[in-house]
Amino acid sequence: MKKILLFTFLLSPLYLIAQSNCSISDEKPIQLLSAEMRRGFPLLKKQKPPIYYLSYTLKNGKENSIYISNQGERASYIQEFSDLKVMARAGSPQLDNTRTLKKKQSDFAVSIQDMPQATSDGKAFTLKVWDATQQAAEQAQRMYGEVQTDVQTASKRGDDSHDFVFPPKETYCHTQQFTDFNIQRIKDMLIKVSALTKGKAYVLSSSFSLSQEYGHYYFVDSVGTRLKTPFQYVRLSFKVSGRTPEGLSLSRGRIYDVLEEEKLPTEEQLAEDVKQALEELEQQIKAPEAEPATVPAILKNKAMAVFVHEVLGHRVEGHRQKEDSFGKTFTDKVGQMITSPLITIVDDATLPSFKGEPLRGFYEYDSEGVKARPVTLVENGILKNFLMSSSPIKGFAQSNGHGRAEFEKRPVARMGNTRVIASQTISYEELEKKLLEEIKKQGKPYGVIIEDLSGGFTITDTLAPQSFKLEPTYIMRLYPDGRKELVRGVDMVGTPLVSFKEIIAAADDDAVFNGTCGAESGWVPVSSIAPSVLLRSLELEKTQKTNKKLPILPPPMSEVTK
Amino acid sequence: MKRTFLLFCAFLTSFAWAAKLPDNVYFKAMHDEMQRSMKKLHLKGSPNPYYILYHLEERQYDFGASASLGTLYQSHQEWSPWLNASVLLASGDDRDDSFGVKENEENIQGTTSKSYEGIRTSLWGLTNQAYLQASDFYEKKQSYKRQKGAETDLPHLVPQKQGTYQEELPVFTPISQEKAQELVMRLSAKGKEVPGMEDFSVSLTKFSVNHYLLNNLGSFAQYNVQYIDIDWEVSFRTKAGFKWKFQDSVYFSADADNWEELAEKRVDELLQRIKQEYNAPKGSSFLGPVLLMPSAAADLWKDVFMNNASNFGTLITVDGKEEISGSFKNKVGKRVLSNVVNVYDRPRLKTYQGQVLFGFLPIDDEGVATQELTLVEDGFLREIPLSSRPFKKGAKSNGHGRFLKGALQEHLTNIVVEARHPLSMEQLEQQLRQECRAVDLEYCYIIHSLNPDSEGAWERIYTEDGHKEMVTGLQLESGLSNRSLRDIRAAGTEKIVRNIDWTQSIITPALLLEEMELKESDRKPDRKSFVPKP
Repeated sequence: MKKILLFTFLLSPLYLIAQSNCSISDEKPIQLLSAEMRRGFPLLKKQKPPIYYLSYTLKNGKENSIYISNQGERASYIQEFSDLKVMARAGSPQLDNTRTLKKKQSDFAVSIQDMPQATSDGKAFTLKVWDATQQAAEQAQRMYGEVQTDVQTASKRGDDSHDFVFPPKETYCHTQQFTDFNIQRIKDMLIKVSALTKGKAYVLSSSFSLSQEYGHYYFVDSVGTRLKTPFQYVRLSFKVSGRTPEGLSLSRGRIYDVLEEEKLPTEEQLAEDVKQALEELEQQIKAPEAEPATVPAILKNKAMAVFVHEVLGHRVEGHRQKEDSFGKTFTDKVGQMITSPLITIVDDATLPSFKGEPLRGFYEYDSEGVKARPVTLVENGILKNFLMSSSPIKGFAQSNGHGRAEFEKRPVARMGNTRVIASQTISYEELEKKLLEEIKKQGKPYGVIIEDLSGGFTITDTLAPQSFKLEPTYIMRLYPDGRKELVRGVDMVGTPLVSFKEIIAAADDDAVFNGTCGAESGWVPVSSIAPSVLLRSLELEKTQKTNKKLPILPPPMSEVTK
Repeated sequence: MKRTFLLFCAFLTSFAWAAKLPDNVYFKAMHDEMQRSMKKLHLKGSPNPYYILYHLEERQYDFGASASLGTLYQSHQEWSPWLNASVLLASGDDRDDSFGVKENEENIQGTTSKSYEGIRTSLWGLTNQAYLQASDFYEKKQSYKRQKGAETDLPHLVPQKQGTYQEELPVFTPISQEKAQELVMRLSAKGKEVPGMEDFSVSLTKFSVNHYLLNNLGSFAQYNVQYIDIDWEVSFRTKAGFKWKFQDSVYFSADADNWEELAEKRVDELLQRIKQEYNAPKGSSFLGPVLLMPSAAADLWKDVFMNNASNFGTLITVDGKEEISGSFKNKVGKRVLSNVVNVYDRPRLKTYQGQVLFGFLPIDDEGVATQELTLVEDGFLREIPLSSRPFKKGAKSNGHGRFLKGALQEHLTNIVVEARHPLSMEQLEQQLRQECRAVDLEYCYIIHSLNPDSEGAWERIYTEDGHKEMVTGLQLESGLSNRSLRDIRAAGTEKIVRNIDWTQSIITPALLLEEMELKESDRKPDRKSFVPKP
């Protein structure tokens, strides 16, 4: 009951947002793209092989960026953009140019940067659309030819589902007004705060940046879908980096994702955070190097958020259940227990924010024009569903709005906002107590608390073991007497089927990790929300070192200030 | 002893020139970090740095506008200035060095706010990287020497007299948006009148580049290059179904009063040729005299002359590979060209007929002041570019040492081709027809470009009445060779500028060549569009 209420509350903003506030037929880019679709698609359908599906995506917007270090500006720019992507499918839904057999998966989208303005006569705009359509159609036919050859000579696929399912026809128009941030004010603030790194001999490099990107997507396809949706991503971040004498690279920093300028940290708050990050970096450099071990561990909320994304999230992406080149860890496990029963995992791209923090994985329609919706992937430990694009798989015939791609890439199933919900929670303090109990129970010399992960990777193809490796950026040992010690130089490793069953308790401190995820369809903004969890056991191994010596001379300003 | 003396002199000089340096944050940051590095940068077991050159390049640009077929692009850009840095460092000494190492970094710290701390921090990082790399190369070189038993032939730098150069730096003024938009819309709209044109885009950007160079031997330079970059992209299809897509750029000096007029002229000439190309019949194989228009002549100088007239020292890379030297290495005093044209290298020429020259170079990478060279006179090779690499005993640098492609080499700057008896275009065409007649040809060719990707390259001129006709579907029978240089029979009065790779320029008139062989191209017409052009 509690869970249902929680979802009603969380979903309510969606209904407010998902209301058209403009007329799609009045939008000039939609008019021009639709006209070219009406003119061209009937002819393309008659080609041999036929172009049976076509879509246009236009991305119009603006980007403001600032990069600062050592009291100086590296680069800043304001850039308006207008890019077009054309996706064409040749053949039939049963077998088309996107099939991956012996050949490596390749992009089938054609993108054109810098489109002419969609003015009243629209001639230059339409000419570019026409040219890009021809390129996309030719490319699709060429690739379809290769696919046909491969089909003749490759063995039968384990899952012989169709390559495409037509998305439902949608009409939606959402216009949003955006306000440029006061770039000069933020630049001055970052330049001032960057001076805090001056004179710190252990800081080899530092960077402070702001990026504000906003605009609208326009989508038109041959099914009849016509969409206009807004997007905005704003991120202020900083990073200070150093290196140990043994060549281990270390860094600390903070990321602030906001949508309104008022929500950015004040100069005082930012300065405090920079000082703290500098202190943490200095402590890390001096900290002892950790040894490989298997110990009980707490993954703090943001670290757990990354863990879920990397270790489980990528493995429940639909296309990974279909291609024989993937490990298919969870393909046949629907209805089976795959994590601790404490855990429910939902991917819900319709959530714009969580506890006031904007979620980068929010969107209204995916890159294939399919409406976003919440998908329960795991319920009380049991696998229920996969993230689906318009490429169906056995038992899952429709997209659930997760076909995503970096603008110029081919969409595949990707995460949006991945949320871990624990059915029973305790306070974080109690979780640490439980960790101490677990250490003693297992007779281990210590446990670990992983505060933060910078990212990592997970192997999903069959070429290598189905394992993951994540890079903690701040890790502490907890000794049986309650003492904590900062250590460095280890990564988390493991395999997905084992790791998620090791969760034995969760805290009530859910937090957001906002990031950008890279996979076959390029870099897409994502979010992950999770509480801190206690793992019965976690394996740590030595992290990679650069073998680079420290610079021969100390940084120039540290000598001057001496 | 001699070596010690030379290095001592170098340090003395460094104290002396510090006071003469331009008074700005760039030189202050470079000077302070260089002094520190020369004094303290040392890796146990490796030789110290003996040569450091810092080069800061402050780029500012104002993206004016872009338009396609008369319609502006949606995009607009405003960029902060960029500061790029490079460090050239050699360790060891002038007899036994590390080959030299160059490290570059774009967008270094401290760009717009002119942060002394930021610039020094970037230079510190780059110098450290360069020195570690140089130490590694030094060891590899020792190993190579032991392996080959080579003591004397390896490259090393001979100290040269150092030069200085200083200009007042102009204030960068952005271009008027309205003016830029009006121009690109007007120029790109001209494409609408051309049959077969599928896209014609024009964009305009104004650039300003401030250069700041300093080395530890007493050389420094400060100068600016400003230009207006007009780029166009063409996509068109001939009536016969051949599709061409290409782009080109022209760089006008920001000081030129008539750059808009010149740009319009270039666009008109280009579109005129494309119009003729639309209906052009297919050409057939040919052997006989040809007239290379200035743009095609620039291709000849670039591909044949410039490659042969550079890189003369014994160039051994860090991998121990010996690179091929330019073939003019041993031809000084010998005939290399017909005696119709003379060729000069003019490093200090900054602009020519309203266009900026990328070959402009007051001080080379070894701190030596660049000198003007007479490369070819009366057909004989008189001088060649030289650096401090002793390619032959007693040879002194003439300021053409550039550290490019990972090694020091001799490099031309602005080559200027001048006809001894220049002919007008009418006279050149007349002479071409005479030569055609002499070998009983019905027509000869005027060639507009030797670049295989270029459009509208071939134009027939009929011997009898001089009428002209564009043809298509031809290509050179074989590559260009030194032979073509000796086949030059006449040259024109009007010259064009061709900038190459941001480091060299060619100024050349049209050239009449005694013979060139063309063959029919194998290219088939491109696929017809599935959907008719809107």
